[in-house]
Amino acid sequence: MKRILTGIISAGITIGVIAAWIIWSNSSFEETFYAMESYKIEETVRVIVLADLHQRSFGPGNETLLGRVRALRPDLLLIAGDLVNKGDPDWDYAVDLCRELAEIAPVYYAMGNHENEALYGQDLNKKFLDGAALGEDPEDFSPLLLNPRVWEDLEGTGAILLQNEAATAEVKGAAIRIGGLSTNASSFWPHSGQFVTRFVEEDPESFKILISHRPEPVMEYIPDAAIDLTVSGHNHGGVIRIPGVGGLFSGAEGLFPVYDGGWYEREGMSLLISRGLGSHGLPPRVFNQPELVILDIN
Amino acid sequence: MLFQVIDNYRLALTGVSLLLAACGLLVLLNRSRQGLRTLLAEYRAVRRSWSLGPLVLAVFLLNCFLLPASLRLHTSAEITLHYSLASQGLNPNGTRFNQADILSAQVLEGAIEKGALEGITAQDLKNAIQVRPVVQGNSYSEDAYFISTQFVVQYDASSETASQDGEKLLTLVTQAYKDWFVKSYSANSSILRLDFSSAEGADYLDSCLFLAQTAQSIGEYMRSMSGEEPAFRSSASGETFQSVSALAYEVEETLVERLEAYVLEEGISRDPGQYVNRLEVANVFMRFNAQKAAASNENMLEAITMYEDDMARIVLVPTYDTNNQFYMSQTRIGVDDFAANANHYADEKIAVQEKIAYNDHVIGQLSGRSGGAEDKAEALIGQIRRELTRIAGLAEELVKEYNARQANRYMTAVVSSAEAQAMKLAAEIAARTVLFAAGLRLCWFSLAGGRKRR
Repeated sequence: MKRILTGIISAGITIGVIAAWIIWSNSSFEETFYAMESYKIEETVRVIVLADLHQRSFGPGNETLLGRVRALRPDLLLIAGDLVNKGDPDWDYAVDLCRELAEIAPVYYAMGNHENEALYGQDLNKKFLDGAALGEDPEDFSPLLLNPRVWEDLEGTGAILLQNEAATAEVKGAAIRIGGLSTNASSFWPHSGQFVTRFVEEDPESFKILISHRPEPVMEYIPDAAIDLTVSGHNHGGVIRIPGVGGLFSGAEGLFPVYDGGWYEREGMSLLISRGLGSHGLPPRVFNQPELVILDIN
Repeated sequence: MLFQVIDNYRLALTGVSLLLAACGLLVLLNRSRQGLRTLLAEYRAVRRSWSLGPLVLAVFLLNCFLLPASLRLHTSAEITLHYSLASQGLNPNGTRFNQADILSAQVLEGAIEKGALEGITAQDLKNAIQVRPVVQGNSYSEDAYFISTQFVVQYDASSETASQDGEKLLTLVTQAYKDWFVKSYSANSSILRLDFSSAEGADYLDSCLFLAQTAQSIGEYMRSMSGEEPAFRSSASGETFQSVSALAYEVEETLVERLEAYVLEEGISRDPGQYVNRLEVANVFMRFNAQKAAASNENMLEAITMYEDDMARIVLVPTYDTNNQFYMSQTRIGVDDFAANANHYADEKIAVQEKIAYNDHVIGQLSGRSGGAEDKAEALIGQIRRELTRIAGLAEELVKEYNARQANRYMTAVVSSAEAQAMKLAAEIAARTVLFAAGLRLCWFSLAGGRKRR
């Protein structure tokens, strides 16, 4: 009896310690620094990538996160989607954060699947889009907006929203063309492919960054496109990271995903995947501290 | 405080484990006269009744948290140099490579700025980081002489730097070093930013000279870059260093020469009187120079006539060639020296006379002309400037692209990540837990035996 009791107490303490450790390790974020070279950039341009926050706050009003972003002095801020949760989207959270970020540096925001579900009622799957009343342009999803006011509020923060769109940022004498793609692999054609083709072909002298919340459509359709950098998130680093092995699973790739996080060079494409800053539902992130990505382009 | 705990945990745990084991062994040695069989029987009797599990579990959990945490305090990175001169201990520009540059104030301050690190100075970082070659050679013997192209950057936290993650610090330091290295040693393309303002308002023939020199400088620079990697081709324009060099020389040989021919043919100048005066004055000085060169030439020829018979004609020196073969080398002697000098002065005289003749021709062309063909000359100058600007732009893009590619090739820096060391760490956690459990059991058994006897 005593042995059983000892065993139960030991197991309880172990589980308690591990749970406390998971909560503690997820309460802060680590910073990952990357560097890449390009002849298109004269002076070093610093880009900070925020992905998969899922309404997560680091400190009251996200002040810890904002403080670090401010201190790191970015030239561009890229939001790679999933700022809010699909079930209970807190748009005020997104608006406040975008407004604060826009005061630090120009913000370019491409939607993730959670925003899309919250904005359009469903993720941008082929079946949904093919049957939807899109109008003449199959790549313009604005007729599907459930609440256009949300979109306007986000635009009102100063952040540049990129939904199958591109914008040019002039940074330190360099032209940086940033595009946003948020369809998935199934709906890439015909609901994003033409935009990406235009994005690749126009303005070849600019440094091009494509924000694609999901890495899969890019790697499936355009791994050899003339895009200098693709920035993604979505897979949360594989949620549970097994030390020495990598991420355990992702929604798109299943167990042991290839694109769980980090820097990838594939067929001429540089792909930077953030492990993200938050999570959504269970399981929690284990051995997978939230990550703020800082990239210096020299 | 936490830094001290984490930093000394390994040592403390090993010490406690060994102390427990030693205590247990000493007590057991003392009881060894009871016989091994008795002790074994006693061990079998008590082993199931022990309840050391929670303590071992606690130590296991501590190992799981504190041993990985210590990796944040002690980590390393490896920098490998890839350019060809590295194996000779040189920088890409031929100057001496110095590993101490990795920890220079400029690099460390760059790392601090890059990471926006607070409460840490370059000196703190310098105190916590050491650099050493992967293979340490020496100059005592030829066999031991080795120039390393790989360097280990070792970080051992101090109380000032303990709040930072070692992996992040080394990433920042290696990135800052790479930035500094590329900035210091990549090709400088500032020569390609053309500035025509100094030739503004210059006379037409001076403009010809200026434009020709500009074209030559682009051509020469591209030719020297071609020496580094002849096959390098721009992905944007498709040009090579050699092709851009050829474009620049083509401008000099066609457009600039056409401009010069036109200016001379039409005899145009912004101020013909002043220009003619300038050439006449220059000719006076050059005639002196020509006379001086002619006199020197004659002196040398006279010296040869005077001393030729008295001086040795051939001196042969026994020599070994590079293949260690013996041969007789003919060395230069006094008469050879006189002859070489005579040739030199003769060439100088001809060159100066050539210039005088050219100036006379220009003077003849400019004298008595009324001008009126300036518009076409201006248009030609404008065309040449535009063409040179275009070629300089192509050249600059090419150099930038080459630099960007070289920046990736100069070196690689790999920081040892905690995740990559997971297997080693798991083995260490298991080994240290087992060592502690063994020591604890041994001690507990020996003391349990003692308690039982009492």
